[in-house]
Amino acid sequence: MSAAQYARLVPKKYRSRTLPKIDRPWRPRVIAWAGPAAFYPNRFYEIDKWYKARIDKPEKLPEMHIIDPADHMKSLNELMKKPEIEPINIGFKKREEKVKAEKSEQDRAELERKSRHMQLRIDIDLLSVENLSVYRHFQVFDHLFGDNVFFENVQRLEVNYSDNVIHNGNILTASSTVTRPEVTIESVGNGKGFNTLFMVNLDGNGFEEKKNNGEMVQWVVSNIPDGESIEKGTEVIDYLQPLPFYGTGYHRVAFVLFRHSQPVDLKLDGSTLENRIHSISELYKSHENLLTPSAIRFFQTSYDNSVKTKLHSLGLKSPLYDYEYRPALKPDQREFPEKPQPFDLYLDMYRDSKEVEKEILEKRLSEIKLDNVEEPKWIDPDYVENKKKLPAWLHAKILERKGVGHGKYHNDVQ
Amino acid sequence: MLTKAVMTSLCATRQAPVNVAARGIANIPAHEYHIRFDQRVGRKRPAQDVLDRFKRLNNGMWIHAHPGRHKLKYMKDETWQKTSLYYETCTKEQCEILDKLMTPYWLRQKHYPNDPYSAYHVRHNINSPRVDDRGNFVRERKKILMDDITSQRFFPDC
Repeated sequence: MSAAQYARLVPKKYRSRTLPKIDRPWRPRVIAWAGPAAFYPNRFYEIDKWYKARIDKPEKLPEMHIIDPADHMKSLNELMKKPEIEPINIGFKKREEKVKAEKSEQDRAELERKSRHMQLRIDIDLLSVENLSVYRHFQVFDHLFGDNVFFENVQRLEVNYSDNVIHNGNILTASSTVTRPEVTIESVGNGKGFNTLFMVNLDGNGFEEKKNNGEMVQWVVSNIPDGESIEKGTEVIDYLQPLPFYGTGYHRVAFVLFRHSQPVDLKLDGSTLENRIHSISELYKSHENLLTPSAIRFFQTSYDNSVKTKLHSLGLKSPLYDYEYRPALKPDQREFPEKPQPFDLYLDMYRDSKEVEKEILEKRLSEIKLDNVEEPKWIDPDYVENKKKLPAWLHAKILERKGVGHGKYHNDVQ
Repeated sequence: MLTKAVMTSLCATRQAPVNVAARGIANIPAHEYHIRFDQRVGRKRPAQDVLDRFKRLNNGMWIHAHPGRHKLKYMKDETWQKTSLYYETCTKEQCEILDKLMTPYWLRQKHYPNDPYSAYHVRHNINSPRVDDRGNFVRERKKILMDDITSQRFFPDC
């Protein structure tokens, strides 16, 4: 400040004897040098008068996968392997196959020649192959009777839904299982003894409260006299077609045949869908002295329209199951991210999902297809124009909507 | 005697070719990185360069295109081709500086019809305080000043 300016501003009465030295403002220069944070009240953290009581909650991190250092050299196969215990046979002894007549050396040579020339034909239907490895693979025994238990097929059980014969785990459509199947049971006791047939859907228990109570029992016919047809038995639980709910994939449905010498009184309630849930292993445990499993067959079904119609006829709604994915992990939101971030992606990450869905729905409604409208042949007919005019993020959005994200905007709403 | 036109043309050829320097960080004209005041109006003028190159969202966030995205594009990889097209956020300090280069008019909220940025004018679920040390609102939406828990419960976006 010059002396003239000082004289102009300050009346003579108040002037000091010497001209006071007044600096030029130095704050802006410091700010230019040290940045705008230089004159914050505290340079190291921001104090806010209103928010003194705030407590920062500790960030909850997802639990990490723990690796036992003693095991880390083992392969996944070794780690996943169950301890080997000899499985227990709860059924009958394996039936002895009739040994055909010994083949002569000539016959063997002939067979070998045929097999070498790819002329040896084997009729699969004539073979009585009882291979339990399919059941072990599908864990049918484990989920019916508990771990480490099996039994042999010692009685021929033929179940067919008109043309569809039940083998070991073949796939049937749900609509083909609407009516009860024809069952033929081989007579093994010369007219003595009884058979009891269970039809169980191993994956059919969809009740949250009865989650661990057992499986869905579809059909129980007990006390079928040996060698007689199935109509002679008493139907304890009447037939209900297996109900694989929408979105639950393939259900294993097993036919289990029990053999017993005395008639058995099974007190099973199958009046409603919820009452049909019984634990086969518990049931077997309570009648262990009497019942012995002798044959098993199973097939697989998945959802079909017939399931819905059946549930509606029972006065129920058809439940829709859907996989609940974990929400994507995202870092804590910063008001101003430290490193430059793509603004649209960064802000989209923290937008309310409901609002995003609403936006998508609005877009969909604005683009609802009319019958006589022709879709453009290209994803973006004005690509060159848009590439020049639009900002890249907006153009990318348009391309995504017509291209990769087509389903999000055009698929049917569930 | 040579005509004046010939003289000037001769002079022009003698001069070294003027190379138009690319505008980089080293040669930004001095008048552009200062806050300029208009003498006639007696007020601050907004920096036109900032207005050209940056965009301010209504929540106070400045965004800009990636600088140098056209440079030597052919020798860079696919990821770079894609990410260089992003519009990036500025840091807090940059935002503050840019705010200072603006006039109050440009710091006001703007609402345009069919704004493609409309979804990004509001921030959601931010935990940082809504007021600075002087009790002024940091983010733009005007609301009643209330305690943290209540505001986070009933006003998750601001």
